[in-house]
Amino acid sequence: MAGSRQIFFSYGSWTTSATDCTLTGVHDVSMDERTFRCQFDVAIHGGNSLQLQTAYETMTGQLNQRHLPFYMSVGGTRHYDFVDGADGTVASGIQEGAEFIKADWKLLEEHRTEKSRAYQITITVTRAAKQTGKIGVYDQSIRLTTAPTGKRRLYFRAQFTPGPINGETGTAEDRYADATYGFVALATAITTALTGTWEQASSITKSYDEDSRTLTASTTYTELIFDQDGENRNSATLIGANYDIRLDRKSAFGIPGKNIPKGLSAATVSFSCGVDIAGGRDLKEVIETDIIPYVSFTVSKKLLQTGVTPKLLKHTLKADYVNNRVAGTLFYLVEETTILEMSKRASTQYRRGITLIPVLDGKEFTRDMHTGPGRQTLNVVLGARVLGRSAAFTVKQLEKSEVIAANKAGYIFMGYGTTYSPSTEYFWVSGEEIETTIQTTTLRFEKATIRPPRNIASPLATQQRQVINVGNSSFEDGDGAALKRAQDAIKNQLSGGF
Amino acid sequence: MAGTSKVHKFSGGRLILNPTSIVTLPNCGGTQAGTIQNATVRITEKHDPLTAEEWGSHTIDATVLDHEVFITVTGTGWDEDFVAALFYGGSTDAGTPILSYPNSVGGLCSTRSVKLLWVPNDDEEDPAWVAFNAIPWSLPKPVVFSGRKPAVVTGTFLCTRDATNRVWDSRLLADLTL
Repeated sequence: MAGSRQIFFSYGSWTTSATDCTLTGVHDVSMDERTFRCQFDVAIHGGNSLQLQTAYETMTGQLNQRHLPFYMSVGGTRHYDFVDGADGTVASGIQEGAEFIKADWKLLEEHRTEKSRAYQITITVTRAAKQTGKIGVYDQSIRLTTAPTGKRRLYFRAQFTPGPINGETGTAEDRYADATYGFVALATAITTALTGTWEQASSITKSYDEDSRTLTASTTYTELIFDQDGENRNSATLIGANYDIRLDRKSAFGIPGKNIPKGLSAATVSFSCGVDIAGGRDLKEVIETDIIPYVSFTVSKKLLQTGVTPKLLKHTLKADYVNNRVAGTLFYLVEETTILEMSKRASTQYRRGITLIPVLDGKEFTRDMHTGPGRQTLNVVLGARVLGRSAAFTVKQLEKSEVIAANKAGYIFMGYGTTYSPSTEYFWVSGEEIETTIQTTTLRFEKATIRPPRNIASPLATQQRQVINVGNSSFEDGDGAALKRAQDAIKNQLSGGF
Repeated sequence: MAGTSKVHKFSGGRLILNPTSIVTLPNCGGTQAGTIQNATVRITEKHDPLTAEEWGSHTIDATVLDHEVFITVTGTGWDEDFVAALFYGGSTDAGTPILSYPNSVGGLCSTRSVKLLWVPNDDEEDPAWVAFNAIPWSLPKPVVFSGRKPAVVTGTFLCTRDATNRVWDSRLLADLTL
C-alpha cells in the first residue's frame, strides 16, 4: 500500500488498514439521534487467489456478526465510536450507546481480478436514547380517558433502549426496570401528577425487538375510587376487584296498625379479584384474612342500605392458583329488625239468645221461642317470629294491645286458649348462631255488658235479679195469664203429666 | 553467456511458428513464417486506480487487471505459412495459401492460436521472445493486390495465456522454455 493512510475503519477485529485491504474512494456518513449510517469502499487483494480468499474470509468473518464495536479513525483519533450496547464498555460523548450494529456489503464492478475484489460496506447503528432526565427511553405515549362519572383511565406506553449510556450499562430490560427512569417509575410519575389513587388494570405487555434490542412496554392504569380492602384505597394484595351485590328483602306478614316487620334478609355478593403474586401470599389465607372481612365489613355494609353488619352464612370463594385469582359468592343474613313476622287471626262466634223450648202440642217441631241472653265470643290467635330465643315479649306486647282493642269493642278477656309452644330456627353464620323463634298464643273473649254490682247499703246499688216479663199471648187476657200458663206447664211436667 | 544490456540496434531475426525445441536447428522444430520485416511488441497495462480521500481523492495505488500484449508482424510476400496462420481457413502444403471466409471451425479465437518464437539473428547477444498462445487479432494494414506496391502482409496477434498460464516471455534463446 502506498503512502501512510490516515483514515481507516474498524469493525470488530477487522480494519481497512490490514495489508490485504485498501480503503478507496470517499466515505459517506449520515446520522441523527436515532440512527447512524456509514458507507465506504474497500478493495481486498492477495498474491494469488488463495490469499484473496483468505482476505475475503477475514473480512466477512467480522462483517457477518452483529453488535461488534465500530469506529472510524482519522489521524489516530477515533470518530463515530459505537460500542456494542449491552455487552461492551461504557463509551462517552455522542457515540455512546449503540444497540443494533450491523454491516452489509456489496460487490463492486471494479477491481475484479483473480487476485482482487472490491466491496461497498455499509455500517448501520441504532443509537441508544438519551435525553436529560430520561435515559434509555425513546418514546413515551400517554392516553387519558375520563368516563362521564369522572373516573379516569390511563394508557401508558414506553420504548426502552439499552446502554451503555450516561455511565450505565445494561440491556433494554435493565432500562425498563430502572428505579428512576424505568417503566414503573415513569408511570408512577404520571399517576402522581394526575393525583388520586391508581392501580394497574391490565397486564404489562412487553415486546422485545432482537434486531434493535429495544423493548416496548405498555399497560393500563385505572383510578381507584372505592377502598380495595378494609383499610386502604389501594390494597397491596387485592388487584382489580369486581363485585355485584344483591339484597333479597323477604316479604313478611304483619298486622295492620303495627310496626312493619322486616324478614331476615339475604345479601348475596359475587366477588372476584386478582391477588398480587409479588406478595407471596397463599390464596386461601388471603380469602380468610383479606377478602371475607373486606366484603363483610366494607363492601356489603357500605353498599347495602342498612347500617347493620351482615353476617356471613356461607361462601363459595374459590382459589385459582393457575391465574392467582379468587372468585365466588358470599351469602349473608342481615338482621335489620328484631321482629321478623307478626300474625293475627281473629274469629268471632255469635250465638243469638234464643231458646227453643219444645211444646207438647202433638207436633214434632213445635217450639216455643224464648229470647234469652245472646252470646258472642272472640278468639284471637297471635303469632310472632322474632330474632332471639323467646318471642314471649313481643307476643305479650301484641296481646296487650289486642286486649285493649277487644275491650273497647265490648269484649271481656276470658283467658287463654291453646297452650303455645315456640319453635326456634337456627342459622349458623360467621361462627355464631342467628336464632329466630316463632311463638303463638290464643286469647278468648266474650262480649258482655256487666251489670253494675249490687250494694245493700244503697238501694240504688242493689243488684236485682232481672225479671223477664212475659206478655200475654194474643189469646190470653188478664194479668199474669201467660205466667200462669207457664207455671201450669211446669207443674204438669213435674207430676209426670203432659 | 553474453548479456543484452548494452544499447544497440537489434540484429533482426525470423519468426517461427509453433516451435517445439529450442535446440533443434534450424527452426527449433517449427515453421519459419516467411521473411519478416519487423515484429513489434506492444504491452498495455490495464488497472483500476485506488484513491485516498485523505488527500483529495489522490490515486495511491491500483489493482492490476491484466496486461495486454499485442505482436504486430510484417511479412514480405505472400508466404504460405505466415498467411495461413494469420487468416481464416488458411491451409498450407499447396504453395499458395488457401483462404476461406467464413471459417466453420469453432467459435473461439483460440482454435486458431499459434505459438510464436522470435529467433534473433544474433541469438547470443539479442533477446529472443516467445508468445505462448497468440491468436490472430487484426489486420492493421490492408493487403494490397497491386503491381505497383510491394506485397507485404501485416498482421497483429493478441497474446493469451497457454495451459501453463504463460503469455509472453523474453530472454536469451538458450534460456527460453517453450
